[in-house]
Amino acid sequence: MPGSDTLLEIKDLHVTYRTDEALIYAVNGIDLAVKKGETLGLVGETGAGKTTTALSIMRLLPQKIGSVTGGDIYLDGHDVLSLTEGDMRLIRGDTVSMIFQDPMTSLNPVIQVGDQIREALHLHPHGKTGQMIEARVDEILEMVGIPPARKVEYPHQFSGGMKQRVVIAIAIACQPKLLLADEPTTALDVTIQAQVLQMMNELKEKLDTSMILITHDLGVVAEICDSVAIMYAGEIIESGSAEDIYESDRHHPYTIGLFGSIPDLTRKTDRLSPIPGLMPDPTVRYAGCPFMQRCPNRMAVCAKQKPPVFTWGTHRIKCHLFDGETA
Amino acid sequence: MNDVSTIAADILEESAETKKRSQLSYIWFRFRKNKLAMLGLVLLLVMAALSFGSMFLFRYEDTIVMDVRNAFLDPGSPGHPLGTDHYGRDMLYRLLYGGRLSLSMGFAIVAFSLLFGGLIGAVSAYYGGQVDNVLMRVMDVFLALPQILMAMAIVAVLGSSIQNLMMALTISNVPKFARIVRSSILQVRGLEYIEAAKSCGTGDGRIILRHIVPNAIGPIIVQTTLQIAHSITSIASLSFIGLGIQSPMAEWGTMLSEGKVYMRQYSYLMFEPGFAIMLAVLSFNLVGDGLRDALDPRLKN
Amino acid sequence: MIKYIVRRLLSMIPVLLGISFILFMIMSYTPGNPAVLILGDSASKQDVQALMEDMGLNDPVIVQYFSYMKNVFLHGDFGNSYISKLPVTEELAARLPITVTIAVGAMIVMVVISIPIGIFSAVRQYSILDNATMLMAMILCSMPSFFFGLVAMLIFALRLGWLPSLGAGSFKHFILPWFTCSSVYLAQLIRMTRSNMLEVIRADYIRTARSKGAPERSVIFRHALRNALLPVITILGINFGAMCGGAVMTESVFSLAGVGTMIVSGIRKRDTPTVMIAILFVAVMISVINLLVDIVNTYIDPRLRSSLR
Repeated sequence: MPGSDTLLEIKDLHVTYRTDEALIYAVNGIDLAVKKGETLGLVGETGAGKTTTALSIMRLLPQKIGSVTGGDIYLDGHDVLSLTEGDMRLIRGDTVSMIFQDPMTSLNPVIQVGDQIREALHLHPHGKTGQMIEARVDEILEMVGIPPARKVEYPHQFSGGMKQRVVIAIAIACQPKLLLADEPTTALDVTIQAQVLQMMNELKEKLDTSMILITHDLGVVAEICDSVAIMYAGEIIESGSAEDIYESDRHHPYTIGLFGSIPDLTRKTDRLSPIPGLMPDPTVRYAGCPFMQRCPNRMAVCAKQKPPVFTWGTHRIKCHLFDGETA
Repeated sequence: MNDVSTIAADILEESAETKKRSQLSYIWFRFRKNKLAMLGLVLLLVMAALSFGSMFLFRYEDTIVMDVRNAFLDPGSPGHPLGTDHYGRDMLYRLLYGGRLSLSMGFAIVAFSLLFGGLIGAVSAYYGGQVDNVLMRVMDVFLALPQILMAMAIVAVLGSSIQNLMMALTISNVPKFARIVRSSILQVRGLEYIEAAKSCGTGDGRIILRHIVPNAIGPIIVQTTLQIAHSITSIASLSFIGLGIQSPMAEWGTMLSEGKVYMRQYSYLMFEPGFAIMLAVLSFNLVGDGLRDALDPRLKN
Repeated sequence: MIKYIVRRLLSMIPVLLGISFILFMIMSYTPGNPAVLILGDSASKQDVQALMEDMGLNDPVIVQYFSYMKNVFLHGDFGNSYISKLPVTEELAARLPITVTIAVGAMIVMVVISIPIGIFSAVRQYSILDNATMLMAMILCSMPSFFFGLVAMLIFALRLGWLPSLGAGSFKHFILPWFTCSSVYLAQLIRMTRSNMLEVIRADYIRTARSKGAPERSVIFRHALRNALLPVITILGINFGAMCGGAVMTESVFSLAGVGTMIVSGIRKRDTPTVMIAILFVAVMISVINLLVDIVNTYIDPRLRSSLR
């Protein structure tokens, strides 16, 4: 049973994509929990299943192709996977909303920016009058740093960074309890990135929103995340609080590789040290640990058995290396 | 001798080679999967086989000899599986002959307009600037008129015979092909791997042959197939209104024009050539669409 | 906006001049002597020579062209028909309404029918209705329009008697011609609308709309539709030109006395002035419709609007 301050709980989630050519196992049994007001950083390489997880929470997987094949998602007391579509629509945008990755294509080119924000509010009025909605639109635009006078303009009249702010404005319009941010700054310049992140941080504090921040940038995670979950090939291989991840001595070999692959401006090196090899084929279900082929510490058992999860307080690692240590 | 840039150029060339080889078989694989496209291809091959294969089964005279005593025989009559027309001529022979006419004329028209139009388009794309401007403006003037009307005007001058009809339709098709080839080349020229090839030191001739042509040719082939369909319709249209192939030659459009008089009692005289045109056009359309889908790298899902 | 319209109108002029030039050049090589055509076979040689001199037929073709254009621009005089000896402008004026009715009516019918069908097909992708519609569209696309016209005439006029088969008396008379003229393009438009909708529905901004909790109806009609229709408007303009060529065939099938049949009989009888004005009229009509389509486009697509400012 979810605790009273747990907003989101995901249990053993499995998601597959079915295309003409193959069946893709995108998410293979993950457990996740987010408390009220907490920011969780979901980290991993491209193709690890992070976006799929977020879309599953909102039940926005591409119809006919993506489907949840197992597990449960509990959000604010609702059993998300068994809601009717009508009830789900009440939740989308209101209780949970999403900031998508590419601001260039996430806004409708033929609708005014103000209208796109207004739509979110009209869909979940909660007794607000038209006037109140209008005032709220102006309020949100100011919050994200856009002059309200620009609400009659069209997306192509905004720069990339401003477009992303509009996307953020749409997402926070109804003050959702959970905000899913899918690599919100990846498509932006570094300087704009810093601005947008700072703005999101402030919003988060002002509105007391929980957030899942999907990213592959460990630096960003360090700055604003309370807890971290690291995904690889559709599985969460390590998770814990920010201190656990950044300061503990124990880590999953993948995590070590991730940290090690960050170029360090202060140290002199001749070569970058990426993790050798590539992600495993997502159309194949592996019996053992998905990271095995690239792991410098692999053992015989890693090929045969899925590693169990070992726990130290809030710190959880899914790796055979820790077999024998106390939990 | 073996300095880095030539090694890099060789690698690029090799990958282009394998890319092309496996690309071709990949395209064929995707085409095969498309049931409608395969249907079109089969239809096309059957029609071509029937029309040209039957060349040895009857002579031209068989299609025009009149035998009024046997006029208006129903389809299914002995010796005349598709019936006879108002002059007693056998419909099957006439339809087969018409097929031969339409298919070979269609191919020839498109081949020539591709040649001339393609030349204009390629020159335009290659030289750019004023040459491009002038050529395209001239093409625009021709394109401002419907193709059929342009062809009609030319036929008016030249008179209606097979060759003149082909010339008229070729000329009216040239501007379209010029535009298609030009835009295809321009699109490919701006792509990044052309820049990559250039930065490896690959010469211009190689770039054109190895990189530009294989990638520009896709949309051109699709359009060519669709234009054959369009040409067959145009031939029939012009013949139908009397400005194309004349009686007694057995062209489908001419047969339709003759048959429509007897629409009430002997509707098969109208339906048979009409369906023949439809099947021919349909098969080219299906193949053209199938090619378009097979060449498009974007997956449908 | 006004500046844009004026600019476009001005750019139409060189194109129309070009067409008139090319047409005149082509038609001037029509076999047969116009003077003989006008005076008849029994006319004397001197009369024929005199008329040729009078009509400027002995001058070089370029000179004839300029004199023709001079008459057109200064006097609105497009010459007289070689056959009827009457001003061709009169003939055109009489036939103009029919052709315009056919062409414009066909375009309206095309839009009104194919867009809803295309949308419906896209929304119910892979359903039986969708497959059936696509099959029928494919077949219709491949049927020459005049064959479709003949079949429709056979079924609806002759066998069922619902609609008249000839003449241009009333609204009912135009129903079959409208469908005949637009048949091929109607089918193309259905397929195009469907494929545009399918593409747009996969766009990111549709996902954004859904993530707000928008109902499917709103997603399709408010968010997807306008974006899907933008390219359709452009195609409409291009197709109208081709459809005008088809109008010639339609007029022939239904024996309608329009500009199309004027062209065909003019060509058969070597009546150059008639052919010239008729084809020029079609070219003007096409250019005007293209301009209207472009204007509509700038109103609908906000991205074009700001580039005009």
